[in-house]
Amino acid sequence: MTLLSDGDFTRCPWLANANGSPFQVVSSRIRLARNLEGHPFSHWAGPRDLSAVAAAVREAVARCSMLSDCEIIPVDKLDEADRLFLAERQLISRELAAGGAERLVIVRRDQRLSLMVNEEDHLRIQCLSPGLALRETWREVNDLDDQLEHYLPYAFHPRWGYLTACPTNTGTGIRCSVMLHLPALVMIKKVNRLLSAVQKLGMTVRGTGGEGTEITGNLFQISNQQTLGVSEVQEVEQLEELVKRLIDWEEEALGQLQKEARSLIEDKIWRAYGILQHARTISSLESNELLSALRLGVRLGIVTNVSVEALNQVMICSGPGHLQKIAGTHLEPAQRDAMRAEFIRERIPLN
Amino acid sequence: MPPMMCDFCKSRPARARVTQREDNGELTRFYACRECANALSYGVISIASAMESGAKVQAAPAEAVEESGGETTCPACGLSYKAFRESMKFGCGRAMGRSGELPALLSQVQAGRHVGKVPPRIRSVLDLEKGIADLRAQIKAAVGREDFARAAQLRDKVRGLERRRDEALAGRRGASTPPKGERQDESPPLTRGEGGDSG
Repeated sequence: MTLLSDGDFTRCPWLANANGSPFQVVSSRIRLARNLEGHPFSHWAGPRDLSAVAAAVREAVARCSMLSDCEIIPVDKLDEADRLFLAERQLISRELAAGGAERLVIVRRDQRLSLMVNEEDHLRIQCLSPGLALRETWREVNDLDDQLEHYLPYAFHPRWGYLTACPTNTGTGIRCSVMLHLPALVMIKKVNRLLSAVQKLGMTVRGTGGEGTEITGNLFQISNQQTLGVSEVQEVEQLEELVKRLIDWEEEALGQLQKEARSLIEDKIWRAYGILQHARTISSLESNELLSALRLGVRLGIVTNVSVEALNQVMICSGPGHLQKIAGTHLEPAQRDAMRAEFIRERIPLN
Repeated sequence: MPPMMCDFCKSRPARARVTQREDNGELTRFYACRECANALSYGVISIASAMESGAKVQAAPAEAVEESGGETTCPACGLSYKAFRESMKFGCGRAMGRSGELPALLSQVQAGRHVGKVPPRIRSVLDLEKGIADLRAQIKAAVGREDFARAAQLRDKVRGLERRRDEALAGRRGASTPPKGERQDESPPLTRGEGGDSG
């Protein structure tokens, strides 16, 4: 079974089983930026260096026990739907999706661990986890980094740390992010409080699709920005602390809403439920907003026959790339919207 | 990303770097356009008068005026300084070596020095280098008190550590890694000018 030909396109394996995690957290992600000594960085490298880097990484991967069950996918051979599909699963960035020779994505079978080769940096090592699991995620990505370093001479400077193409990554090269669902803070218009707290701590907020994307469905991706002068563990702890504080604020906001506008909230949830159960065509923007309301319904115990995990899966797997992979063919936007409505109806049972 | 502006006239793009040695021996750098750099180098204006509007530095004669615009390229990867300023992406790891210029730019983006993970193999090399430096200090002290037998003993120890360090480095070296003596922290500066604040 391979990821892009006959995998299960209706279920994202790394999103499964976020047991005991705070309700508001969808996923945690940590990536490390690394470069190999002796080669220009990918954006500036010629074909010979790009192919030498790709070959060195392939060789190292073949020796890593943590990647004994993985797939190596050259990006330039992929069609549009494949690229979208991988991007929706957060396995490739938009930059890598743009493609080019010797660009690879290497994905472990469970899709938790993956590598991007010859993106902006020679190597991006990534670990994805469901729920709030930054410490475990860091341990795992750190272990894989150690294994790879055994075979790959990383570009490193004692003072500046891991050398990267972009100065904003130089140092630890780490980016820790957490995807949070914060509908109540949005409804009581306290997002500014959130943004200023995030910025004060040197962190940043992005949309679900990563850098440069809009926030939809009340999903916020919070991540660290500093990579010099702060250790990896400190970054992980700071982000975890911030996430816990944001969850407290969200709960506070929810309490206030329930007191002051209970019937309005319930109405919003039931309407969302109704549309998702009966719509015959729906855009991804609209479905994300409605799934957000439904998620709130699960949180408040109003909607009882849908799990949060099922909602997370529907959210990821109803993206345009996933739908085209499921259909096995190219779909026009109107066809996708019709298929999305059907896909969601099948997975959101009647109450 | 807009071009860096001259620190003096604040209206023309910077083309030169002006270095000034402070009383405490530290170097302070300014960026100047061609016109202001010329005026400075011929004493037409002083740094103090030029900086009058927002002077943050003590007046002192400019030690050197260096041209660093336009044509400067990285000797290792060929990326021009101009291209770097446009993309704000380094071309290779050499940019972070002895050159004072790029770390100075880096500190505009981020402050501090690396305190995180060190690749295990590099850690062992760093430990060995520290051991070698300690032994060398002991040799100097031994020679100072004319204990040459002790100095010879220590010298053998240094040779042993150097051999281990070289082995550790060779173990890290891939086919395309630069030859010995050209390690990352000893790389040539990307731009002309004095070697500076590398750690």
